[in-house]
Amino acid sequence: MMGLFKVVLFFMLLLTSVFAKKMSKYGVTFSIEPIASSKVEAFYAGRGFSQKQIVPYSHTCVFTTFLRNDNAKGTIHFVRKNWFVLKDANRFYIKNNAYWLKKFKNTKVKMSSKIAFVLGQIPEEQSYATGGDWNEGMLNVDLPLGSKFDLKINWDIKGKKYELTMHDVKCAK
Amino acid sequence: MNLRCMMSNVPSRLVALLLLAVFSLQAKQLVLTNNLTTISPVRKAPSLKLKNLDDEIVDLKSLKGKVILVNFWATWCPPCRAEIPSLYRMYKQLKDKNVVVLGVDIGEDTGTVFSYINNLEPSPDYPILFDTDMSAMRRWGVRGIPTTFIINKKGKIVYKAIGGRDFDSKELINKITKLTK
Repeated sequence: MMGLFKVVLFFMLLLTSVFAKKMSKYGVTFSIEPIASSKVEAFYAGRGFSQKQIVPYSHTCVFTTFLRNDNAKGTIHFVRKNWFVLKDANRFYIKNNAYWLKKFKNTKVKMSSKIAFVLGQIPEEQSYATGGDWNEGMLNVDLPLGSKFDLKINWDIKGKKYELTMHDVKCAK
Repeated sequence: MNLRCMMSNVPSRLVALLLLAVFSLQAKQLVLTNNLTTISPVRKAPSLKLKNLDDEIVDLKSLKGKVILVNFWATWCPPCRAEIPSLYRMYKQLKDKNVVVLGVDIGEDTGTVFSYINNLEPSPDYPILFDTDMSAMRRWGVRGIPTTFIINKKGKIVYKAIGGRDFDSKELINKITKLTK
């Protein structure tokens, strides 16, 4: 019985790591890992959201992302709304926080919950100094659960643009 | 041969090793870094006047002459939680040298924060302040948490760190200690 438990656990962890992707380019590390809608709902339930309030968000593609400036040529600066996904030759830009806050507007979401929502996302705009500045946060792609696409993120160093592509990103089902 | 039979032949050491590898892949993301960004030219710290856990007002102005770390955080933020033990160890090591830590919680109530802090072992005893409406966070230009500012004895921001740090690493202790002289 214990052996079977280990095998199941092994496959569960293996699946998580298969769907998690990590890449380093131009001295910057980016990673992305899909989060199941039940986990997103559980996280936000802890922050005061009812299930009904968070469903519009949790039933889209939500990921945990991580971005760090390891040893780029200088301070990197990004604007999240410039990031996009490519799916079937269509381009979908990442929605801003205001888009989601507007969706929550008529559902009486508490101020503290809205703050946790905003801070729980990877920042909308940020600058990371070289040598280890970083953030971790959720990234939402407003596509149905189970979607598969390429994600393009970009940043600049004193105006010079850089781009990194994560191919075949899968969101949770 | 079915999958269960096949897998039961896999040595448990191999399973443990693979599990360890998967865990370390995931844990790697939360590795705390140990650099501080030098602010040049140094700039005056914005105002910070917030209530603490005892509902008393703490004003940054009243701490002039000390080296102050202002750490913006929240209890649900994994990197914030990860850096707290090292932040507290650094504080314990340097508080007699006039180093102060102010933990500025964003958007949570005293009950939530008290319960979290109280359950930590050891429980940090530096002041926790409450920025309930993000106004201090905006004034300080914080866009993500954790973010920490280090202020010198003259009230100027000299270092900044975005993301979790290993505050009691030798490198950071040395940098902070130098500011006390």
